[in-house]
Amino acid sequence: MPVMFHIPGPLRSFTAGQAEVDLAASPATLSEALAALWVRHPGLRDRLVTEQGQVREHINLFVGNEHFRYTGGLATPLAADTEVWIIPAISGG
Amino acid sequence: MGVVYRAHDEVLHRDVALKILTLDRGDAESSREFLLAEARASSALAHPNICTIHEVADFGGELAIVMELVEGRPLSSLIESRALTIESVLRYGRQIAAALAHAHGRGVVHRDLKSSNVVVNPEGLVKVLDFGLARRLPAQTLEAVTQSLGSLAGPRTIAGTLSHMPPEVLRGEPGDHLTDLWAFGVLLHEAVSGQLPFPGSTIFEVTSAILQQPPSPLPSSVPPSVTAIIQKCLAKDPAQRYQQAAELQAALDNIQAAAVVPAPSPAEPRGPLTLVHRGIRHLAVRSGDVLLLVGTTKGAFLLRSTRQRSRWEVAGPYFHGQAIYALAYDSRAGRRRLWAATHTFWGTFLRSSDDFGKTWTNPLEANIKFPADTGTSLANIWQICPGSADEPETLYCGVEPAALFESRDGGDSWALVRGLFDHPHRPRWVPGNGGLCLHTIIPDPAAPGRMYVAISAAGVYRTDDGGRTWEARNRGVRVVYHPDRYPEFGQCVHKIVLHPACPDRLYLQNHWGLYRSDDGAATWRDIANGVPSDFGFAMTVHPHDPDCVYIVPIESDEFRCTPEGRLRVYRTRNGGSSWEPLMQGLPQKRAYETVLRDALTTDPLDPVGVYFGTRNGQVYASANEGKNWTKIVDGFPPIVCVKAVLNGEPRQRRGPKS
Repeated sequence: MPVMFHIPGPLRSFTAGQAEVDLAASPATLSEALAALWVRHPGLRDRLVTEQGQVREHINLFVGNEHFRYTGGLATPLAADTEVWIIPAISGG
Repeated sequence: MGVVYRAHDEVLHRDVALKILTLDRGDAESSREFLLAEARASSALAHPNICTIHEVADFGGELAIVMELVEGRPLSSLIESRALTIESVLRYGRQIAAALAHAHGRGVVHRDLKSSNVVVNPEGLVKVLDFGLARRLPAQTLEAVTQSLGSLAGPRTIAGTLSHMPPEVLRGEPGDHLTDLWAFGVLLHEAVSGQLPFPGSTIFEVTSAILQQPPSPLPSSVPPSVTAIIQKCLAKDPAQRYQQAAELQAALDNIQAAAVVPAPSPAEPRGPLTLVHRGIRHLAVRSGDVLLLVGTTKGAFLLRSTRQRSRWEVAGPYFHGQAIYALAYDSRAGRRRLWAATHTFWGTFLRSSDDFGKTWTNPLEANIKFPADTGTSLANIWQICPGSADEPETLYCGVEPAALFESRDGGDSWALVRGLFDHPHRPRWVPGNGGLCLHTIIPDPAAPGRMYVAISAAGVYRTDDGGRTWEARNRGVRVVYHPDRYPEFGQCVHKIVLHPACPDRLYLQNHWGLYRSDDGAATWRDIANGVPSDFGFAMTVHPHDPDCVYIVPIESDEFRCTPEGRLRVYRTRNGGSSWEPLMQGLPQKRAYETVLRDALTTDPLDPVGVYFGTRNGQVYASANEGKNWTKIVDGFPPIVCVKAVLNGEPRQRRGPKS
């Protein structure tokens, strides 16, 4: 069953305005899901991860309701019908 | 593929197409049975995008197929070497993918999908013809090219046009549903470009291309999202393709959804996406106008004036909410290109505009990336520097963590300058308050291959061989936070400037200390003669006078404001022997301002215009070399850089008298 990504406003210019992106495929891990996401929407990759493949410092990924940091990082296994939220952190300035 | 008649069904009172296929005499009975079975399986398909097969009958030597009469034009005739619009391609492609998904879901594979098997009716409805009929059709009904290949490939007859065949089928493997997905990629490629992905005039050329070559490049007008889909369909390894037509359909649906959403701009996104700033009254820039590019922590602004520089028109904010530490203008090779580095927690990107800010590139990928082996990630871009005039395709960027990047193709691609990154000093460089950043780049206009960079807090480095080797050039520059007051490197240099007419002379504003060098930065001597403080950030040189330099002294590193709350620019006109305050029109009470390292600049006119922006968001301008000042902006976000640009004079053209 598909994995759904919730896309924050600033990134929607790279998903043609879509707030939600459904992956028809069934990726096994968060890492695979992200790879599939940016095959479809190539502009997202460099905005979510650094060139060394680390999720950018002030970007939070939630697998369901849990921060990916506590679910196994990018290797987090994804169950069927998982929703992944991409949410920028609170930041000042 | 046999003969097609328009026929009338007397019983159901409908027009139909009647296709008569003549079976090859040599065909075994089992083959005919198989074909019949395939046709019957296809007749079970009921989908709006599949041409319905009503009836199949075997008349001994002939197979009659009664099917839906489709009025329209084959997709191949719509293409005819001309690319279709992306909207059309998406509209048709989505319907074809839906047809494939439906058929594959019922175990039916097309095996000969190509643009001549797809008909588009006048309403834009797509019908895919001949599902399942290609397999084991008599060889003589196939195109000559395929026949030849059939004999090459052994006893099995390979159906489908050669140029649509995936590598595994060319190698003799039986086709499956992935064959259709490859063929779909070929069709899509042809539709968006007007050309086949693997062209060739001989069987050898075509098969070699399919087996070994990447698809021919697509026009830059094809959106990256569409290119990505085509590339995935045309992966040589079937495991790398979409595995299901439904997956492909979903990918197209996504783009399709975008196409029907009101477009964010009149032009569809092409190449690097285009960013259009709405709600901004853009500048109408004329030849001879002076432009100010102002970067703030929350966006960029553009200001325009005539060469009188008395009234300024303001446009912005561009890149609303993003920090713009670097702006530049490239007028080489006839360009009028603005560059901006935008920084947010979504990363740092270089954007350019060729229409004075109306549209900007919005690259899908970060332009500047550290190579994987460095283990380093870009934190910010501090400086964009067009190279020398005789190398109009060369640009440099200074970044944080401290490194230099170089482009040799006008800014399309960038490479790390390894000579500096691998310098043995680098592991011992330490960040200043603003991070470890390479903030100043000065190609020597008189010596090809020579260039200066300034790094905080590492000091000045120079290369004489185009970036391969670098030498620290800080002798005489004092360091207050190191027991050795004059180390080889580690200086927190805030700015260096050089006048093109006097390229061996440089001036330097240090964390503490004002310096001048007359030997290409080999040695420096103190020139803080009569300034209220030799701490400061900003420094700029008069464009027509190498002896004239402007600075804005700051009280101290603890109290980073103008001394005594008086906003004063200081100028030397004798190469640093003495400095004079310039304050006419500048606030002299309770003006606790800071002018950062890139926020002071001059225009090239005569008399010279001098400009600066403050951390409190004010822009001051002088149209007479600093004698009188006017506040032209109040209330910008904190200003980090100001650049002045003269939009090229109209050329005086004198054609031959007629």
